[in-house]
Amino acid sequence: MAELSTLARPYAKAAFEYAVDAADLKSWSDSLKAASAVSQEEKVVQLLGAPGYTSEQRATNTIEICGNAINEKSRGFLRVLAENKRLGLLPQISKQFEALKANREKTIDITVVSAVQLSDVQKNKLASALSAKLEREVNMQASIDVSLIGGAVVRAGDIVIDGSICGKLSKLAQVLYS
Amino acid sequence: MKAGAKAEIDMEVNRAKEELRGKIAGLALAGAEKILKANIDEKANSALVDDLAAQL
Amino acid sequence: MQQLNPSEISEIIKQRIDSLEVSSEARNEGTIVSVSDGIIRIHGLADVMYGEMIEFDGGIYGMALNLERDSVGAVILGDYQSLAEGQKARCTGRILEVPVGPELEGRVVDALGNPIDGKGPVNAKLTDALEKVAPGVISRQSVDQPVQIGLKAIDAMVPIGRGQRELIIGDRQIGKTAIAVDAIINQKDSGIKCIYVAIGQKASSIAAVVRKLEEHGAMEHTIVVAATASDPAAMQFLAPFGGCTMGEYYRDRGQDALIIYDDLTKQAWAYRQISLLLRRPPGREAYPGDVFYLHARLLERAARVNADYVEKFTKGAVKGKTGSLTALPVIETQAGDVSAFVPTNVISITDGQIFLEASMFNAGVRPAMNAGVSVSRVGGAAQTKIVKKLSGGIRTALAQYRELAAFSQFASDLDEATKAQLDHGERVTELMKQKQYAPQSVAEMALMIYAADNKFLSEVPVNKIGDFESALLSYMKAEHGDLLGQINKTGDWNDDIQASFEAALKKFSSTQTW
Repeated sequence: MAELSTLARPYAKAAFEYAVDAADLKSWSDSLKAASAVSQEEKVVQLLGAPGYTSEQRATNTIEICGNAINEKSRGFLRVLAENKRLGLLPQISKQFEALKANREKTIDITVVSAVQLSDVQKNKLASALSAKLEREVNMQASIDVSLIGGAVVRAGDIVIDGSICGKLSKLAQVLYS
Repeated sequence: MKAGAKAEIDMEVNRAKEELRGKIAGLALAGAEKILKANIDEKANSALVDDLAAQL
Repeated sequence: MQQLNPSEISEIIKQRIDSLEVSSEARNEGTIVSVSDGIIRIHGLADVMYGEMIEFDGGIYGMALNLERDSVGAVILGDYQSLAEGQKARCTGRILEVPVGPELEGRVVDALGNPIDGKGPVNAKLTDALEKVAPGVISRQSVDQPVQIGLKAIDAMVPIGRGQRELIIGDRQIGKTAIAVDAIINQKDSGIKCIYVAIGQKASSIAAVVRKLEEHGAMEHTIVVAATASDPAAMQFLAPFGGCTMGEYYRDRGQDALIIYDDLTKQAWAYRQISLLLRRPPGREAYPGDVFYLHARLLERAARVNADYVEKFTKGAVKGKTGSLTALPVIETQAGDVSAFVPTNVISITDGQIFLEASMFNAGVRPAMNAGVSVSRVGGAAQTKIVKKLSGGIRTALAQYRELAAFSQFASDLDEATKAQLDHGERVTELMKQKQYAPQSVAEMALMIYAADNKFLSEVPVNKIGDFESALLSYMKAEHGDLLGQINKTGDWNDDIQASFEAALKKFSSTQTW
């Protein structure tokens, strides 16, 4: 049983390379997001799962539902997916497409969770420090979590930098209990 | 016989020590958490955040 | 009555707090996707390294063994009841380490060095990685110092040297562990530190071994590393590496150590279990493709290193001494099948084997060593001069006896010479038997072999040879104790000693007190 992301990767790569060649990244990104949202709707899930339809019909129906949200070429892409019975992978494909796009445009999404509201000065300081470290433009999303007691936790993709008091306390606990 | 009994006593003592150590550690941590929760203020917080930014 | 000292406890806590580092480093985090059978699949963890320690919630650790495109497969080192899908997993940037040093002597620890004998924390000052590269060709020195096992059959015919790997192979319940325990007991005064790694055994068997070692005062120079049958497969797979690292501590500092892996068959089983659960392709007998590498890299670390290596390692603190780690791996065969996969692998890796046979065991010959098939590729270079001189006759006597053994049925129809050979062979076989936990010194062995070689046993009925031996040894200890002491110290053989042996044996034989 191969992982979903392994199955989705070739499609995402193909879509991305096509979009880069056509210099059309933004519109492809929006199309894929829309198609992914559509494919997760309950009724659509039923449609995709029902055994009576041919792949042609599935493709046509999905494209109809998406309507104007998707661009011309994406329709062909959806047809290819339907032929190979991979319409269910759309969420994964969209996610990987976004990752490739972010990589190319040298941006990255990070989340900062802090115990109290951060001032703009502080937010900028963190943003610039991270920017320098990761060599990317940083899109920051800030949120509050009182259980951190103090400090903040920064998450960028896989990387986590824990500067919160809660985190330090758990480190202390580990050291004491071992 | 005596040697066996002594070994058992030693083991019990060690086990008691380990348990005690665990309990004390737990109490200390709970106390620290409470104090910090009550006492963290604006200045300390921003100091922490600045620290974090510096370490990045 | 011991008092509970409160400052001791607070000291430990204070030390731990002092050692805490409060900086926040960037760590990789991933999400657990599945938990099953001790294997965890993790999504994310893009920067994880092979064999790195991964930390889960609740202070549980795992080891990353499968690095795939979209997930990481890790084995859990500990209890996985509290882990669930969706929890976070963090890289630690460290590889597995065990505590090493003299603080471990006399202790019973698990595969990762945590004490399990209830005698308090180990407090070792140093730790070292489990997986290390074996010393290179230039750093090694050839083996020429003996390790006295204390068993006549082994020290005379299959001598083991410091830095050698000698395999003990045989069916179940045949005396493999007995040889290992006797070897450990005999190292009391030799300065060799011993490590006994128990893999996949019953906890009761390990407890029995520890008790026996304590009884004979051997625990003081022994470390016991135990991964019992109920420990997770990962611990059973790692235990030998942990023990080897503890042994390398001594090797690298110019001292000698002896390590016994009891037994490597169970480590291969544990590794097979982990590999199959990690979906690695199974090979012959369902073992993974790298089961040879598993044992080879473990046994290559047992070596003799030269003085230059020791000097460089200790930064000049220890000069002019070579270090060694001798390995006695144990392999259990099924129905004497030495041509199975794992036995053939390990036979090709080690420098010789001691092959124990069921037929000999059942006939009462214990240690049940088949002298014809057993071999030590180091051989005479690792024997003291006296034993080397005297033991040649034993091997030929036994070889001839085996050749003629079939004819012993027709004893009455044979010529004198053949009958004499058969008699002699029978007596030598009887002499090679030895009780458990009664290792003999070099002098005692030399004396008995000399007696056999020079026909002092021919008048003794075969079933009385055991009594003859014990009576002779107590006589020698009483009358000629200093001669024995001198031989034990120097290991020399010259005409004077020969003359003393002759005289003593003649005198003893004449008394007929056995």
